[in-house]
This record gives sequence, structure tokens and C-alpha cells, in this order.
Amino acid sequence: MSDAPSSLSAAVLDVRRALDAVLDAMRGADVTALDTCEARLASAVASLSATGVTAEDVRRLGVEIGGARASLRRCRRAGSAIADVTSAVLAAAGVGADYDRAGHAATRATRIGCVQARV
Amino acid sequence: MGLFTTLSSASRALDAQRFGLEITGQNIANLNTDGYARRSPILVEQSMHDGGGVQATGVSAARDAFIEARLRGELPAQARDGAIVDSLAVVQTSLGQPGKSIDGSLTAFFDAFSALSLNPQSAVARDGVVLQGRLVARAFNDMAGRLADSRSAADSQVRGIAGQVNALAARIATLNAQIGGANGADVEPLKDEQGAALKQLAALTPITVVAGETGGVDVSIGSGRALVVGGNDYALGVSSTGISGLAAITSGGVDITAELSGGKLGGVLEVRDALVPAYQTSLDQLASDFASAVNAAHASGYDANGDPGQSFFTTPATVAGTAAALTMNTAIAADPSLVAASGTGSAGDNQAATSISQLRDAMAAGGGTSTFTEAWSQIVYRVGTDAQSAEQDQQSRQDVVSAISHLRDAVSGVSLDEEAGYMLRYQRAYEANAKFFGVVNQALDTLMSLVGGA
Repeated sequence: MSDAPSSLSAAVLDVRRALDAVLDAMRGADVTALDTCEARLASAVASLSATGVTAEDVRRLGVEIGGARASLRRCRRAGSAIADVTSAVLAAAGVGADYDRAGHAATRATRIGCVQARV
Repeated sequence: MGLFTTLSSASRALDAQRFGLEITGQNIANLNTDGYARRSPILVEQSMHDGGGVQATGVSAARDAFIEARLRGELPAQARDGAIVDSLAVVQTSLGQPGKSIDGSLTAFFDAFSALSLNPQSAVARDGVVLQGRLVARAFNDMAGRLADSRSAADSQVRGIAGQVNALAARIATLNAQIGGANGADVEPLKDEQGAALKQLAALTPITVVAGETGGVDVSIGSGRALVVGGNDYALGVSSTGISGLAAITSGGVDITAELSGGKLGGVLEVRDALVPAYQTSLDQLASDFASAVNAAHASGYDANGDPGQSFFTTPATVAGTAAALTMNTAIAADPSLVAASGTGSAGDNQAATSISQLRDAMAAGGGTSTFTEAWSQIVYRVGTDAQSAEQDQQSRQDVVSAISHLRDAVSGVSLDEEAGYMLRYQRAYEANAKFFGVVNQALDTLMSLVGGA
């Protein structure tokens, strides 16, 4: 039995690494890295295929899929919290989730969020 | 504009810029100060009537209420999981290595009866049975003691954390009074300290914070129990309850222990009141099942004198506490000839010894669902999965805390428009990645089913 990962095992590993990269970018609030992750994740997802599962795959995939699932769970949890925070801050700053015709973020009338202590 | 007016205007502008540089220096100096919110000068344009130019009128500190509140919301859960992970690491260590703990003692005990079954009249084999009987009882006693120690350690932590909560509450109350009476630039350092104290408090137990008009905060815990109101703090009480003497947390004389489920305090309470007691119950059940099965088989046999066998182990009347109280029958321990090896009463018969040795593979534990060593493995496995689950949750919480902290740092001190722009970019970048999550999930589920997983 070969120890070299099959293409399917490698694809799952790529997905896990892409998800970990998304997680790292989120943890570091790194917009540039997060932008870069999109293409990497898209490529990793495209290479995932459920066809041609080999004996090596059966042996290896359980562990790798478990790891990828754990990464996905963490991404979703962190992402959900971040979505809440960004939405709240944007709403407080009077910025909606829409764009105007010029491509700029639409501005709402109210600004209620940021505490400015003036002395 | 006359020459004097121009000079006056230029002088004010220079003062304003110098003031700005001082604040920048302060920001740099406090780069690593926990809770420090970046300052910026408030520069106000002067009317031509007042000589024109610019004047520094004060300092503003960037504090984003939503982000701070969300951080405070995440900290208790993270600290709770961390406390569970730390406590269970100690429990895991105390369970011992596979084959060298209760399981090893059980194996040695059944091996001793196997040896006796090969030579039922052997005094050496009888001594071996007595020795292993003592050792297996002591192994259960020791393990029960270690679990009790873990529970006591958690209880000591509960008392210590309650003291820390009280100290922070007192500090926040003092800060409230100081902030209310402070003027000018003195307020900001106090607010920084207030923010840091609230953060520390949130890690200990979930808190609800209500900001007051003067800059102070009211803090409550549990189901709305006041901890700080203005300049007053209401200290938590700690009382020892029941026979166990475990600490109960009180507020205004009311026991609120059951309300404190989050933070480090909640985690330690979970370990003390739920996790470790569950392991103790399982261990007691195993000890009880083991002793009952051995006693029944032993009592059905006959000793070397031809008399009916006695109970091999002495157990308490209830299952609870069996592991701690399990002892070998003192009469058998003192006289190995009382070990019942024969099933018929004849000296050379080995039926009882064989029956007892065969209990090794009998499904006699957990209501007939597992062998004794399997039941022990299940206890070890349960501690392991509880610890792993808490560790995974802690990692996820840490992701969130880390992400929000970085977001706060990234936007702290910049203008609202810049902040909003950054947040919007961040949100879009996340959404772009998140659109793949559903596809990934589905693909992984499909693959898992193909390789035979759940």
C-alpha cells in the first residue's frame, strides 16, 4: 500500500489548508489575505470530487475529512461572530450593506455606535 | 489681519501641533498597554473674530462600544472552556496510563484467580489472590481519592475566583466614583483602567454592563444580580454547604451558584458539580459491579476448609462511594485458606476459581453491556472526549476573540468613515469566502459517506 497521498486525499488536504488560511486571515483581521483566500478556496473546492475513491483514500480520508470539518466549523463560528460585529459597527457608522451608483458604500442617516469621549 | 493677530494665530497653531505630537507620543508609549484606547487631539478652527487659526480643545479616545461589548461577550465562554481544559488535563493525568491503572489491577486480579484455578491447593497461589485482591481494592480507593482531590481543587478555585470577582468589583466601583469626579484629560486613563477591569471581570464570569451618563458603569452578574452600582460594590459571599462543604456563591444572602454558568467560574463549577461527579458515579458503578460479580461467584464456592465462600470484597450499602470504600474481606485477607477455589467443596476442585477468572471477559459491567476493563476504558474515553470537546470549543472562541481584537486594533483611532470602509471591505472579503462553505460541507459529507464514516 502506497504512502503517497492520492489525488482525492490531496484535494481534501488542500481544502483544509485553504480553510485554515481563511481562518488565519480572519483571526488577524487581514483584509488583503482574506481577499487572496477566495481564489485559493475556490480552486481547492473545484478539485474536490467524490469519484474514484481508492483503497488508500478509505484509509486516509477519515482523518483528513475530520480535520477539514473541524477547520470549517471554526471558520463558520469565527465568521458568524465577525459578521455580527461588522454589521453592528457598520450600522452604527451609518453605513448600509448597499452600494450607491458610483460604487461607494451607501450611507445611512444615523450614527450611534462609536463612543467619543470629549474632555 | 494685523501682524499681532497673525503671530497670535500662528502661535496657537504651533501649540495645537505640539499638543498633537504629545498625544502621538502617548499613543506610541502605550502601544502594548492592555485596555488603552488610542487618543487623538480635538482641534477646533478659530473664527477670524477670535484671531483665526486652530486651537486644541481636548482629547478624544477611540472606543468602539459594539466591539468592546462583543469582546466581553466572547471572553466568558473562552475562559469557561479554558478552565475545563485545564482541570480535565489534571484528571486525565490522574487516570494513569493504559494497562497501568484500574485496568492493569483488574487484569492482575483475574490472572491470580487463573493461577489458582491451575493449582487450587497451592498456598502461593492463594497468597497471590489475596495480594491482588488488596491491590485492586486499593487501586479503586486511590482513583476515587484522585477524583475527589480534583473536585476539591475545583472547589478551591471557585473560592479564589469569587475573591477575584469581588476585588475587581471594588476597583470598578472606585473607578466609577473617580471618573464621575474627574476633569479634563484625567478621565481617559481611568476609562482605560475601567475597560481593562471589565475585561478581566468578564473572563471570570459573564457580566451585564450598563454605561452611566457620567462615564461610570453598573455591572450585574447571574440573572441580574447587582455587583456594582455607581460607586458601590456588592461583594459576592462564599459559604460552605452540605456534608461535602463545597462552596456556594451568594449575592445578598441568596445562593446564586446555579446562575453562574459562564466564565472561568462557570467552567470550574462545571468541573466540580457536573463532570467530575459523573466520572465518580461511573467509577463507583464499576467498582460495585466488579465487587458484586466477584462476591457472587466467590460465595457460590467453597474454601480450602470445605466451608461455603464468603463475600470476597466488603462494599458499602449504596453504589455511591463504593470505589472509595471498597476493601477486601478482612477475614480472607488474614487467612488465604478462606479463598473459595472449589465449586463442590472437594479440595482439588477449581470451579469457583475458574468462574471468577472468567469474569474477566464477562459482560458484567454497565448493566451487562461491557466487560470490567471496557467499562474502565469508557471512563477514560469519556474524560478524553470531554477534554477534547472543551479544547475545540476553546480554539473556536479564541479564533473569535483574536479576530475581533485585531479588528478593534485595526480600526481604533481612525475616523468613522475609514473604520466603516475597512469593516465593509472585511465583511465583503469574508462573504466571498463564506459562499464556498456550504459546498465544502456537502462535499465532505459525501466523501465521508463513501469512506464509511458518519
